[in-house]
Amino acid sequence: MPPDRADKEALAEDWTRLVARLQGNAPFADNALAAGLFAALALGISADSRGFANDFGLSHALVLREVVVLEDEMGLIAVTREDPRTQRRFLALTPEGERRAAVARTPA
Amino acid sequence: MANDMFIGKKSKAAGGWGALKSCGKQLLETRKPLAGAMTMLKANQPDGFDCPGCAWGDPNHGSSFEFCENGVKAVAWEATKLRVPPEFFAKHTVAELRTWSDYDLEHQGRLTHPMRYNATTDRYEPVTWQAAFDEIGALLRGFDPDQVEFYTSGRASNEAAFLYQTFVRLYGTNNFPDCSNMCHEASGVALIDAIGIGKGTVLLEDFEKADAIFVFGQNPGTNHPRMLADLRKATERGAQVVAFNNLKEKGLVRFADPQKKLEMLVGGSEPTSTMYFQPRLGGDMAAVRGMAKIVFAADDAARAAGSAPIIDDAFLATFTTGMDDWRALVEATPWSVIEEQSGLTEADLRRAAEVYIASNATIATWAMGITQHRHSVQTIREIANFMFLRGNIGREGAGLCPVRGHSNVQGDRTVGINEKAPKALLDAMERELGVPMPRTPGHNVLEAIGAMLSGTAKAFIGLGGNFARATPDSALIAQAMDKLDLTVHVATKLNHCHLLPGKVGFVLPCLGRTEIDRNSKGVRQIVTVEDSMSMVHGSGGINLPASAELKSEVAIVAGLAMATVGSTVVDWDAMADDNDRIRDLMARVLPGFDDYNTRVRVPRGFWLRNPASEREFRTPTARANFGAFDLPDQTEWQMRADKPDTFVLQTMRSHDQYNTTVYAMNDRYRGVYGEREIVFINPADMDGLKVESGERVSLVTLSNDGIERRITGFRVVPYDIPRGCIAGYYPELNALVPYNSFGEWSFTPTSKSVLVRVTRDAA
Repeated sequence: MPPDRADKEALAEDWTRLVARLQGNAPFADNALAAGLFAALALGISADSRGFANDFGLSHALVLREVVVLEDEMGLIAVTREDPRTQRRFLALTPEGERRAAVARTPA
Repeated sequence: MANDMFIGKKSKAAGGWGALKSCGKQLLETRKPLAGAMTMLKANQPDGFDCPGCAWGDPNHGSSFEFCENGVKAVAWEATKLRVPPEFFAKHTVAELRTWSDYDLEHQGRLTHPMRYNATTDRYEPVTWQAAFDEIGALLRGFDPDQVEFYTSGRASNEAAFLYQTFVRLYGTNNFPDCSNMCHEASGVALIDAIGIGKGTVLLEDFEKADAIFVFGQNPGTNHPRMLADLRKATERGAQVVAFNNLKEKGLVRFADPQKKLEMLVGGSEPTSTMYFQPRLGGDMAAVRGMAKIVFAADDAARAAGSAPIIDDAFLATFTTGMDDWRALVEATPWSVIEEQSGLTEADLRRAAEVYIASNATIATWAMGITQHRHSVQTIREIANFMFLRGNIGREGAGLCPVRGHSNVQGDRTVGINEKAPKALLDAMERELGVPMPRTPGHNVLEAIGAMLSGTAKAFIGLGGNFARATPDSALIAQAMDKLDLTVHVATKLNHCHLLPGKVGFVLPCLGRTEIDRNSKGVRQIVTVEDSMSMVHGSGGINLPASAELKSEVAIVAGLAMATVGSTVVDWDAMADDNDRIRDLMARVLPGFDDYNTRVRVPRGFWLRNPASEREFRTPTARANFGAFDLPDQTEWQMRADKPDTFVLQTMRSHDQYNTTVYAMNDRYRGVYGEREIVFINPADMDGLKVESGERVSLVTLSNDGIERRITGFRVVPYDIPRGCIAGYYPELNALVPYNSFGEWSFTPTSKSVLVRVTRDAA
């Protein structure tokens, strides 16, 4: 069931807060898009690259580039399924990703 | 009974659900973007991503590939998980692989390692990059540079192409056969004489402001699908779109926009044209002349009646020269000739001309249907003349627009892939590098083929492409390539051309445009491309490379260059490691590329100024030149002399195809499934041939050079096409296109006007 307006605004606040925390440290310090995608996955806002691109009004190609960063360079997400024609990638946090998300969500 | 199971239901409109299903997409429920997030995230992404498909302008740089069926196909084709490793070559001899189709070869997946041909085992074997560069360099140093043909595909980025031409000119030749020789060369030749630059003069935004758009010899639904959305928007706001196309093409009739979700749900679509004319092959010049005749007559009548003139006196007097000679020719051309060559009636052309007269801003677009005839340059000059009459150039919503094929074919020419390079470019290269550049014109594609056939060419270096399939007379080309001492192919996937190795042959695998290219410091590199509207923009990869062994095209060119000409003049290592350094060099050499590295990093990049679009005509007369050319004495259609077994053939792409790459075996807009060896023909002509739908026929080229060109077993498909004209797929039908039949001044193969005899095959 889609979130109502209040839920959605709360979610947006959570997401914004999490992105800000992630960006406070490497490896997200200079990569807002990777932080944004990771935060969206961690909060259950998006589950795939194209959904995230649509939600945030971004080009899918640019999101795909960050999927590579998060998967292959940071090891924080895994691609669970891929549509070979659209390149849409379904994503999940790895155990390291879960750990990183939990740390970031814990208030200092 | 004839088998016509391969002919199925045609799509009602281009695009639509079919396109989405074909792409395997699911539309998402619209959700409101999270407030404030977009700006922050977008601000961090300056690099963009250029669809490796067509050269149509891209207003949403980075996402358009998703909503364009062919963009999706192009990206998916490159991003395949399948691989062609050395073990593949160990299993298959080259002779065996030659029996495979290009479709099968390319669908094996991505090349992963540099490979060297071993003639003893007839197999490609792995080789190290350095060994490959060293051997190629040593061999190249042993040839006269003019004995080597350096081919370029329109896939090559500006950086790779610029570095390539630098290397080749330092090596000592201008032999640059390239894919534009086979497509829009006629546009370049005609427009340079007419307006002083061989490029179109419109921006994408002009399509939003035109009152009328004339589309000549073009099938955007398949070849540049994103153009359909712009045509549809034009008709929706009341503009007229007048299409001239030999075949009735779905995309030029209606288009369902995949980005309009409600329309997708209810199965709606909107028109992409308001008038559709089907001239005979080679008849477009006559059609334009007929319209011009009507415009002149209307102008005379208006003046006589004391009304405002139709033609733009002020523009013509200030900016053009030569109209009187052309007008005399137009008025001397009888309607009988115009109707005979075009296949359209005076009444048809009057309707079209009235649209032109009523329009205050008109764009003319064209593609291969115009450029691949004997008289293509003359036809494009006729289109330009027609547009000059009402000042339809150099102002908002008006202009000339040759629509290019491959995504960077225009850019490659801009950065120096030109067998007859402008003096200014060579002068600038000499100033920058401090060494002389070769000044003797080099070979275009047909001259390269001639040199290979005569044995004067010793080596072929291919920066992408599938030369042996893309060129006419494929069988002859195969024989010619076999005789070469050296062949080198830079490629992402295996294709037929690689299976025609010279005495020494290499296949060097490169990164595709979709793949992330990191330099030795781990910094992501971008490349740049130029679209049909002269917008130059940056593109960074989005996927991991298919293999750790792959090198970028830039790195491969630099490796070849270093091994061949050394690093005394150019520091190839430094160039290979940092595309910004290449762009800095380009900025110092190429006009309009100042501050290149900064300007390509803004969204959509920058517009490479086209003086003609601001009515600055850099011709010898400093004006736009009318061209006064007679119509052909006879078009090929007239040469067939109404013989029921003789036709004019055009080759073209299917919908599941991009140049020589065949993504799948269907052509759903034309209702053909699972088969490519077909011939589209008018049902009345089938009666004349006494063939039924699905029956097989043979085609023989009617030429007088003593070479028999024949194909057999092609199925007949009834289609809405003028009588006496037939069509079928490239590259299969290239075997019928004589390499020695080409456009006057353009040397473009006449792939849209091949005279053939058709006979029914024995059952």
